[in-house]
Amino acid sequence: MADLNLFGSEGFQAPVVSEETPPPLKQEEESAVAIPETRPMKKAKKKPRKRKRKKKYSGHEIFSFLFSAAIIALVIWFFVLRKEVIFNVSEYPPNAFELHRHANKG
Amino acid sequence: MLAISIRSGWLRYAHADVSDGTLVVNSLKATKLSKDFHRPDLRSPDLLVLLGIIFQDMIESLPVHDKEVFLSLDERWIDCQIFPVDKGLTRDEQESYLRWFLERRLGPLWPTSSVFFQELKSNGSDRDWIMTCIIPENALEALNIVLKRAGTVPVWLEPCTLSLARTVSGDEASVVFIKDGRSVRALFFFGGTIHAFGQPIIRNGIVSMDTITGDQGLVSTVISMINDIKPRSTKSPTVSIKFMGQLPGKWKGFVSSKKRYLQQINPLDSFILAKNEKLNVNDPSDFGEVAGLLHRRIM
Repeated sequence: MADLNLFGSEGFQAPVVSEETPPPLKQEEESAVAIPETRPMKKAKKKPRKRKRKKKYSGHEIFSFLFSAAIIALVIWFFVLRKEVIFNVSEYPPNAFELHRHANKG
Repeated sequence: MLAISIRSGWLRYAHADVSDGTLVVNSLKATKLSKDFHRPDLRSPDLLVLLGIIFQDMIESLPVHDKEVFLSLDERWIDCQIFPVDKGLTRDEQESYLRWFLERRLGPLWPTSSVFFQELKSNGSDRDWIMTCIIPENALEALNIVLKRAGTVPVWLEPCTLSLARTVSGDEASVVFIKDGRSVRALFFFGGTIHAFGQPIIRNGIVSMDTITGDQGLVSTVISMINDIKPRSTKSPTVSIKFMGQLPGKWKGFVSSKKRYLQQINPLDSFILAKNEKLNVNDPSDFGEVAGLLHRRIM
């Protein structure tokens, strides 16, 4: 295995001969690895229940509610009730206009 | 002892007690370094201050003020490559050639760099393979000063590739894919010795190498072997294929399609963890370098 130590001497370094090989994993050690899982679980502390606060509607909220309700009402009026609106258009054709003008003069 | 790794913007460390060749890990921790530390200017005089900030907090946070420090740094700190040299050359000739070659490669940075070499165990190729590590003199000096000032003894410093290689190497020809954030590293071994490493990519289920250093012949043979494996094939590949960590992106499909042939590695498997100690570890596979340093300590 290549083993270069940059805290060592510069230039060519001879490979470091290992004195001991890493110890193989024993069955006991495997159980040691799993230690964090076997730790006793802490009992979860009960959190004190928070009191529900009474909701107060602010002026802004009331205004926006009324405003949106008014818009909805107008939309309904436009599409549903406008049929009942009667448009009276009085129109004078050119000859009728002449008659009308003479009648007013006389 | 204290095993520290700095890789891809993360600082990971383990505090362990060593007695009679047995090593018990007391604590494992990981902290993300701020962006100032991701690409530090290794030739700046301010590096000493920067390192002081990184190490001081960590050493103070330890339960016991330990002495020995083993350190592993990524390629932002240490440039690590594997180069071929002619077999017929003597050791002095090899060193002269490598120094000449690296001088041209580094240009104006050469006079302020510290260079280290080691010959890799032969893999039967017609050339010798030399591992080279280059670190700016200023960085090496700053690391030594900061660790000594903190009351520790700097014992070992190596590139993260070698730490990882120590953790994942086997006795045979093998390739190991290692998660590194959103990318993957690949280490190639022959006879238990690293002979190449780089960054593999995967496109349409085909593995190829994006960057590579070392024995390219070995790498292309292994990669083509991996690509030739059919998901339902009963033949077992002649190289062992391993992986460490949850490989990201398209690699998930690779792992699931070839899982019959892949072995997963947990770097912390072979260590005893102390009782009643909190181990702050989300993903054990991130501690590959730390595990490599711990192995180095008990060798």
